[in-house]
Amino acid sequence: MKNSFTITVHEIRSLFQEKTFLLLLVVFVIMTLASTFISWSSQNTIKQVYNVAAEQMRQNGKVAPPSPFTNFPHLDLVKNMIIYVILIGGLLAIDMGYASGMRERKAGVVKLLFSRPIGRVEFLLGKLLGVSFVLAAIIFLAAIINVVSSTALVSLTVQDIINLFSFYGISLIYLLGFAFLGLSFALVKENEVVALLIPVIIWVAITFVLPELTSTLYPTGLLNPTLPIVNIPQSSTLQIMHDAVYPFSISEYYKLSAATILNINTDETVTANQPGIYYGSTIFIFMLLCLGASAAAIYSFDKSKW
Amino acid sequence: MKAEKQFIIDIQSLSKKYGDKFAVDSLNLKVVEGEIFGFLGHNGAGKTTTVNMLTTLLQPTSGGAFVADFDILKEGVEVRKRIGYLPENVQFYDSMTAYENLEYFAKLSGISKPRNRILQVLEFIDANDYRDKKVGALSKGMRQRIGIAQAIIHEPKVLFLDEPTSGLDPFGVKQLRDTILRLNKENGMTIFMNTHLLSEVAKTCSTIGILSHGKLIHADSLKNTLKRFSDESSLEQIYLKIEKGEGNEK
Repeated sequence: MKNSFTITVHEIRSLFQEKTFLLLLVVFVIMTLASTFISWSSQNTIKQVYNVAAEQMRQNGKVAPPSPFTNFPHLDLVKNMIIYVILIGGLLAIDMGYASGMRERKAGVVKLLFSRPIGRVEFLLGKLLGVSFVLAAIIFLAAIINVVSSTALVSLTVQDIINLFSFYGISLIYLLGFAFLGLSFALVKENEVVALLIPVIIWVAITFVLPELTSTLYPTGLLNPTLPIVNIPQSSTLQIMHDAVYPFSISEYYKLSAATILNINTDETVTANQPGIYYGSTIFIFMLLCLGASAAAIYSFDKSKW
Repeated sequence: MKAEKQFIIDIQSLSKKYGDKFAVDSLNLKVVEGEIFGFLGHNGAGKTTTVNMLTTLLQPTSGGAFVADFDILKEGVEVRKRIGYLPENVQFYDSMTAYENLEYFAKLSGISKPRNRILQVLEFIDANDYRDKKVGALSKGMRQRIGIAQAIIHEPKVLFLDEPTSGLDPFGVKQLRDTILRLNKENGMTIFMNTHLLSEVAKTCSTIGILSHGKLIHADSLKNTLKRFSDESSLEQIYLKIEKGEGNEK
């Protein structure tokens, strides 16, 4: 356990020397800083468009309907973060896991490390803790940025802040899955490119392909973190495809969980069919499966090869 | 079954098979505590595979060994507490300084506050000047010395060296030889050295073993070996003769 702690500290320090990680981190932080303003700007644009339309109706002697845009939920300001977590956060997490798993191989110190009294489990634990700690710190930073930037624009309630931190909690679990996936393939795959490519392909499948086969059956967009407004189009083929693919559509579950936690949807069509905990649990199971993959990877890691 | 007390390395029918081919074939070998053992053999003879198994980096296909009285199969952690290892072409975390690398490996070897020990070891190998230099900027010879430092930082009983002189210039070879001899003489450390540099064996080792195609074909003290092949003018000729199977009865 003491060795795991030593490795964890080493991991944290080494991660901040990785250029790709730093680049993705900077992009993620910039987008987090911008997210609240972008949403606030979108809301204002919508309101202005309504005002212009309402004014034109009044000039034409018509009565404008009351604005449906006066009461945006407070956390609507951070809804873009759902997409940033899925896109930038996912890549960042994979890169962190990959860099961590590949570090000793690239440095050529595998033999030096494993000729010391450390076990595979201790080694893996140190890596997992290091990656998890850094990812948690990034997520916490994003949460703080959102709290501060949102507070400048709207008055957040205690419940809003709890919801915001809950959203980042589920985001952390989601991202940990990808970090563990990156770590797993970096440990077992001999070819460095393939080791990075496989988790990226899985990320692409989870982020784009599966939602394409499921959520575009709904009238809502591919990446929009909004719940379906109407039911699936009546087609047996589409229904079969949806039923077959949907259980694996982790990013869909994440979007639904996040949207529900942030209270940015009013339509509960889907969550009414499946309790909210179902989606959160699926993300947790995804993370556990990726953790299991890391455990399997460390047992097949060849200590004498690199 | 414990190894006899005086043997710090006791290899018993150790084998490693890759597919149909034996990299190491039923190796039996004993190394007495305090010796400098030279493990000779051509490239691909199985020397590195043997060291990988003795350092518990590689699982044998069959057989086993005791290192410092601990079973490499069942007591890997205990074995690793008592060994130091310098792989061929040693590498480090290049972005870290020599001191930082040593600190990390020392902590992983169980030294919680390694500062004094690091300074002591750097002094011993005369590498204090490189302490705060990034390892990536060090020459091969300097890295090899830092490699020795990481291997001895926790004061192991047995030091495994895999082709330690590989790529070193004559000055580096001499420095390394002097360090090995001092470690053996001053600290009583047993040295197990893989090499094919016969001149170094003659100057450093007290006992030699010769491995050919995974099989041990000769094991004796250097003195006895030279005596047995007194007709030969150099260790190289003796080695070639033994390799050919002439007069290699153990």
